[in-house]
Amino acid sequence: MKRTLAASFFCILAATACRAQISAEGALFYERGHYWIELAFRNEAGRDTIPQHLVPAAFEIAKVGDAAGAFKPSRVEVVTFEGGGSAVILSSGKLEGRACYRVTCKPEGFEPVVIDSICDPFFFTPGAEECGGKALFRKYVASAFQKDGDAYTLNQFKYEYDFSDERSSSSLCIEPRFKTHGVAFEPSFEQGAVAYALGRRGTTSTDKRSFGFSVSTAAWVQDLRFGISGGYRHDRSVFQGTAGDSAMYTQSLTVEGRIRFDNLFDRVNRYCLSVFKGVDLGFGYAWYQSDDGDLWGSSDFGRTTPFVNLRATWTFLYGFQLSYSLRSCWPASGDDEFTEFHSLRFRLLLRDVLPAQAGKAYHPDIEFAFDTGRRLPLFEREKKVSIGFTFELYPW
Amino acid sequence: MDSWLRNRKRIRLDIAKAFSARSGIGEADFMQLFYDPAVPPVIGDFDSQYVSDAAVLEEILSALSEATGLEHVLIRSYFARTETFPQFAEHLLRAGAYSSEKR
Repeated sequence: MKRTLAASFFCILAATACRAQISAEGALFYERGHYWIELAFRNEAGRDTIPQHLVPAAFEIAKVGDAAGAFKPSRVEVVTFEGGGSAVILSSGKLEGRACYRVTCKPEGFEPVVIDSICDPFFFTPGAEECGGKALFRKYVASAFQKDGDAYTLNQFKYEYDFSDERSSSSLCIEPRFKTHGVAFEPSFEQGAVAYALGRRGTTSTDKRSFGFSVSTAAWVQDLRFGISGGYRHDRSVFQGTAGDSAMYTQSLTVEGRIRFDNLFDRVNRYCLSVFKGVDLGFGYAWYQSDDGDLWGSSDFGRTTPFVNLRATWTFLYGFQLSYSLRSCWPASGDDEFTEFHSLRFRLLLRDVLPAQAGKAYHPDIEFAFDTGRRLPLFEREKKVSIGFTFELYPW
Repeated sequence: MDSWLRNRKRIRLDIAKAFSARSGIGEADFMQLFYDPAVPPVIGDFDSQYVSDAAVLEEILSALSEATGLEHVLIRSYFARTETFPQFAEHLLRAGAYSSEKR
């Protein structure tokens, strides 16, 4: 109130015609084959208003940074929207996409208004800055893995060099995902070679082929995601020994409940520097059987074990991603009372930083993997250290 | 005709809500980091840092489908890692987000 009185007093003193203040915001949009500018005005009280007698001569439009090329709109139209409210639409054949405009408006009875930057969302600012972590990763880490010229010639989704057995190995994994009525169905096929350290029996390599499927559903309860899944998996492992190869067939059925905690890390996550995701804990039960000679074995899944799964992924300095999972089992039969399987992955997220190779959607990530322990269904001791290129089809 | 100014504000909130509700980032942080900067990071940056798996991403897009009235498949087709969230939003608005509410 005092401010208004003071302003009136100064107006009288200056003997000038004081005009009301008005503010405006705008949007450049594309509709019906043309670009248009929508302007919304607000009075001093912050209420929507439309100045009277708006004509094209009251407006001036210029591309940001190109004041010399300013132009008037060919048409000014006041429109009222179905949901209430109204706005001013400026049209001109000179409006283009991927651009930012500065609009000056001199409405009758109001102070002139300037809306500095009305941009098409597809406009890119030249010389854009990136966050510190990404700049560091792109300049000093990712660049070391850039390969100019030839495209990678890998046909596999994943290629690894297995340090623990001094041999290379490849694996192919296909897991399409179908979802209907909130239930996800995921068949899987995996083929690969893994080196096993079998304790006193030395080291041997194993060719492994697996297929299976899982059915799962999940729901969010506030910040937590609860999921339940059931699955079947059939594995065929061929052990290469001096006396010849031997095949082992295993089958397993599992049910698992899972809780995901990603949202609880809202406050500690710092984009570009340190982000946790995929943090979840699962509890489950498995029925399994193995057979030395028969493809399908018996239908009696006589061996059982409860298990616990813990997983987490931590990304630091934008491109370094560390994933860890622990699976602990308590088999009800056999020699083992407690087993655990640790899986550590260290991945360099190159695909968003390095340019895509010719013919590839993006640059592959590089992944270092370390797996050790014993797991379903054989509970043989495994150890694998590997490095590989990963062409991940995720998300589609 | 509908207000693009109003729809842009609305879809900004809906995208922030859908993506932050299912990942480790608060709604305000999402808008500040991924939507409001003059030059926002690309979606791929958010995806690799915050989205834990494909299922979560599908759920996010489903939530967005509910909010905008667009088909899930259509939303998915506009989700490109190399674009920014405001560009993703613009694709959805041009595809008719919220227009089904008036029918």
